Amino acid sequence: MRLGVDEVGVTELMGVTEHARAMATVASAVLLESLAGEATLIAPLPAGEGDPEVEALLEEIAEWARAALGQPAVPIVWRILARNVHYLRSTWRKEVALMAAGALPARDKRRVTLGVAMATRARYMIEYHTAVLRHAGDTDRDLRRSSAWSTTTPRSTPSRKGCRSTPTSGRVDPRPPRRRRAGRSRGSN
Amino acid sequence: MTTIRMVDPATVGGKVREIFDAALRRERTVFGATQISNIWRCMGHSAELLEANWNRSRALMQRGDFSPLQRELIATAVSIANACHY
Repeated sequence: MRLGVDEVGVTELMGVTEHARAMATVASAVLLESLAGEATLIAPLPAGEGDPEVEALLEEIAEWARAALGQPAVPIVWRILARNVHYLRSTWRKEVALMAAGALPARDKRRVTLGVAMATRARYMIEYHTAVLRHAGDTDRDLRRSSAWSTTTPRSTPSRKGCRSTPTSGRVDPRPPRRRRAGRSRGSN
Repeated sequence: MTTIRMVDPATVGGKVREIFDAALRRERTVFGATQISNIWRCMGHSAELLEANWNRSRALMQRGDFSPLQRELIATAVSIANACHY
């Protein structure tokens, strides 16, 4: 709190951390191996086989993937969650609500999720968050910092000096553009 | 003991009030609670977080093919496995 983060910021951090942990648990539980691979314990929902709500949610996720990952394929973890509409809806809505910029910038939140994925050794989610951060412009240097945070002990907490937390051109924020908070300027998007 | 101050249920309004009421109704039915659980009070600082978690909790605990008892058994087993006393 001395660093200027208030109750709302700490609550956001708590939510982001818990969400990242839950996603890492899901990805590891269904044995997802890598972002590029298709190996999994549970078959993902085949394209076009969901009910209208599932298809609409998957389309929303594809839209996010286009902006945040630079390709329209829905990551397999969401296609697996799509097997249960309630689970898909509530998990995706949670992702959107928590990862949007609030008291903490969206990019910093994504760095936190990467740190959690690293700390829990969830390979799939490490690749997932790294892909989002790289697409948003994070460099090797930035990623090394996330890695240092997730493996450091409290005694040797590294300095934040030089770690930019400026959301620039890339979209880390999963909110679809112009759908929420219409009219508010969101930079170049 | 918590690291953040918990929201006082008597002072909240709007969305947070609505979800606190709904959560207390569920907890009263499920385990006879007389006041809202502290875990929801911790989330009360952010209506978005509270709503997202409440909806996800409902989706996980109230929908699907498992019975409420089966769900609580699994939740308890996971809490034990994670050494989560709460």
